[in-house]
Amino acid sequence: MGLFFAGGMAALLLIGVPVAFALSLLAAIGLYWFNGGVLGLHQIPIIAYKALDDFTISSLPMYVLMSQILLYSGVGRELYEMASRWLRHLPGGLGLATLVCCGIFAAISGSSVATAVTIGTVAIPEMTARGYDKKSVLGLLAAGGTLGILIPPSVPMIIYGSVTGESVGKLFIAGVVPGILLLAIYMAYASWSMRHIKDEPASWPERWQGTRKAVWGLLMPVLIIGGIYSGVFTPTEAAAAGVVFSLLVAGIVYRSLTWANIKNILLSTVATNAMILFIIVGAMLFSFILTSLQIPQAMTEMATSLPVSKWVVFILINLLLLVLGCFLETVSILVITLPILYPIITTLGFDPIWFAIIMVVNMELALITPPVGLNLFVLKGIDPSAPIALIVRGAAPYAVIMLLFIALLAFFPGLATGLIGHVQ
Amino acid sequence: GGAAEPGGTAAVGTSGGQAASADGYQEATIRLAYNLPQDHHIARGVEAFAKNVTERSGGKVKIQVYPAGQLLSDKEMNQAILTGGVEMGVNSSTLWSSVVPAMGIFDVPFAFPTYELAGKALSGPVGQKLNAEMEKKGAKVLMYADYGYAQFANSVRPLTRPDDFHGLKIRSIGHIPSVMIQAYGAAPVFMGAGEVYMALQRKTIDGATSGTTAMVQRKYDEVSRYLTVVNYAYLEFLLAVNKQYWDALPPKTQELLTATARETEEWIRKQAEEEDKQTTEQLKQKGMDVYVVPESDLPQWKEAARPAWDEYLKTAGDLGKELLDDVQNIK
Amino acid sequence: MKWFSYLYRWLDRLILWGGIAAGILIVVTTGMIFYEIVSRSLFDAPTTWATELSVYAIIGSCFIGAAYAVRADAHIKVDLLLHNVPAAARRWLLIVSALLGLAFSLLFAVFGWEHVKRSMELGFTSTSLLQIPMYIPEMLLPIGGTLLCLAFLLQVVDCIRGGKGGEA
Ligand code: NA
Ligand code: NA
Repeated sequence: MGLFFAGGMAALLLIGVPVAFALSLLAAIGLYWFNGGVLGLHQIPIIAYKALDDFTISSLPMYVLMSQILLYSGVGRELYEMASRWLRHLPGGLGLATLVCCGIFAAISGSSVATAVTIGTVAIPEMTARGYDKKSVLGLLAAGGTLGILIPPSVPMIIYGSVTGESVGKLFIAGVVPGILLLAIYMAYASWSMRHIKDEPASWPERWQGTRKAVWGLLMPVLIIGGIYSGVFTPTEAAAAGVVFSLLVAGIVYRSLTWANIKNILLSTVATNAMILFIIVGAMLFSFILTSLQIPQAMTEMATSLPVSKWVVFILINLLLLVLGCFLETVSILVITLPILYPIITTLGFDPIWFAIIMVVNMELALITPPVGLNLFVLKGIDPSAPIALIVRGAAPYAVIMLLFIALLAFFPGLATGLIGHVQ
Repeated sequence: GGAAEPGGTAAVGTSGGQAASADGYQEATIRLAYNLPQDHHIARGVEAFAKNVTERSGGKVKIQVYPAGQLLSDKEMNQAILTGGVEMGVNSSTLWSSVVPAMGIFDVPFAFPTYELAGKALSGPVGQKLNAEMEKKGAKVLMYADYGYAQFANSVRPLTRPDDFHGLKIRSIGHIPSVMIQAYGAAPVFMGAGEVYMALQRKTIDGATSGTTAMVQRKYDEVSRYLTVVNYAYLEFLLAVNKQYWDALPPKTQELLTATARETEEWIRKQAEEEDKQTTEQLKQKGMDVYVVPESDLPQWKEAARPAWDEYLKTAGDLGKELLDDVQNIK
Repeated sequence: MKWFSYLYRWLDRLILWGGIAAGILIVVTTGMIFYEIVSRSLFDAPTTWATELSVYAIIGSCFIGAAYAVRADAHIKVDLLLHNVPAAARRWLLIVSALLGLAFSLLFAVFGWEHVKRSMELGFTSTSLLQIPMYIPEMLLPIGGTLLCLAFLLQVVDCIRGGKGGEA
């Protein structure tokens, strides 16, 4: 039976059925065959409705909307200009500036793709014009963009919270230190690998002027994080505040909201949102039939009764995530594997908040590993002349850093969980 | 803590007598889903129920348990039971009240002043009438599993009388308790269970209502200072079976299930009282400021909650009134 | 064939309207939640409806917008094979996967309607203060399912005609 589902899934995905519908269709077949025939099919709308019947989920479309508004707002350009005036004279200075922008934007946006697009659109032409080699630039952006899901707010963390019932607020806090640390490691590596390029320093008045212009972009993370931790709004509600603020910035400060832009913003939000949510629906249907047939339970039983250390199981889980990450998109991986992995992790006595951070770093890795890596595609979209292989090679050193970073988190779980106790 | 799970053939009551022989059962696999943590006393009772049924039928009647929301969460449980998505499920009376409005009686403030009275009501006409109503919609009730009384936790001030609620924002569950919160002058807030802890901590909300067992489990003591023990609602969970499925079961299996359920129901009821006492004590030890509303004040609290009674009568109609009268006539 | 291209365009537009409606639902959700924040934090008056209605709106945004996402080719798929086979084979693969999508959408629409009818019969309501009859938000599923059926049908038509669905 497990073979039927695994084989069916592989076949449907391979012939190009969208992930959401491959999951749903296979679940429907399973419900009919193994779960009471037509009675089983009656469960489809019940489970599909339940998949989205959760207030936490409602922040997802708002984060997508906010990303789309910011993409049109010009806030990315101002941030980049500011960062480059402060950092361009250092070794690999524009690389540092780009990463800092990725970090700031990551603290506004919940998505890695949005981060890579918004900063990439500005940084790629500027950096290549300044003599940075294309491979390094594209790799830097592919990796820097992934910070979007580790530094809060984060869509995968919201999904993790929604599937497992862990507090989204705690997950966000847990992402702060690892997010900043990973950013710092990226910066150290970028500066070293691009050390032969330095620019003329900007004057102090130029620096301050750049900062003043970028003030709206800089205010946004303050507003979102400040609003959450002062209790003005919950992590779920923060998305609505972010949308309203970015509308004000895009509409009033940058005057970029034309009717044509609004229509584009709305429709691309709908397409992305429906894609994400329907994968959640499909995965919920799929995991209903699997659970009903006791497949995840059997796997948990097996994994937790293996006569090996729990760290061997941990390494196996990471290998599984690495392999899945090559072929699947992150939301799908999360919602398909969590119902199986979460009980294993908690049964083995690992901290579920810490494990969430491990998963998110794995998802960052998935975004830049071929053949299916969303950030790779996004950068190819910004710079169509660049072959995917070039972007992959540019991002490879950062992928190695991410793997080492997972090991670091395994040795020092306090990096993820330490801050939670202090934020009181 | 408390007593061990119900079990051991010796504990089988009078009606379980014939069922004690394991011969002659028809093979059946019954899927049972619930959405409570596995160490909760209701969960422990339900797990023991499943185990005992399987054992006493010599493994013929197998109850396959899906714990802790693994298969179904509380929101879609009822529909899944009614459409045969699972054969059996445990869900709160509050959620059943969206199908059978009369089921809202357990949320009516101060309708069940004592544990004994709740037990008597459920084994008497109140239980029978509710069961009949459930069967009309397609579910057979096997057991009423007591969760315990609902209380209030908050971080602003001790709530010693209804007026103290004025201006507070309190996370609420279900519609009748919300009307009561409004009647006391507070504002009911709706948010997901996963957000409550942080909302309390960050003062996004001032308080929340639930049983003390849940408060201990969700660590409310860390984020709210005051606990008011007022026993305003007697939270009830139902073990329900799809009616069509039930009717098709052989009488011998039905008898076994009924007898084992009755025995479990009694165990859970005793346990509920015990757990309420213990968890209130735990919250006190963890530093919460506990105020127990004296019995002499209860009429005042009940009177102020009148709009919630009216709300129940509005949604549950004549049957609701009949049931409330029945409860009040129990001595 | 004039009526056919008229019908095609009309259905395509219907799906686009679904997309716009889904977008409006997301905007409305943002408005409701922002109102909730302001009303609660500035005026100490949380609403009793924002959370619940947002959930319905977001359910709508997914199901009503899913068909538009099919037409915009936004649903994530693995296109490894699609990119590495001859054009004729690719066309067949696209037709088969659209038909499989159609198969699920049909089940989704049909059993969605059954579900709505049952909720009406049983008189299911939400357990909140609003006491919304559940068949209203549940209706979004079969409506979305019907739009999805149409979207996959149009995909099949596109592939047969070698139109815009031709690229992977
Ligand atoms: Na982020
Ligand atoms: Na990948």
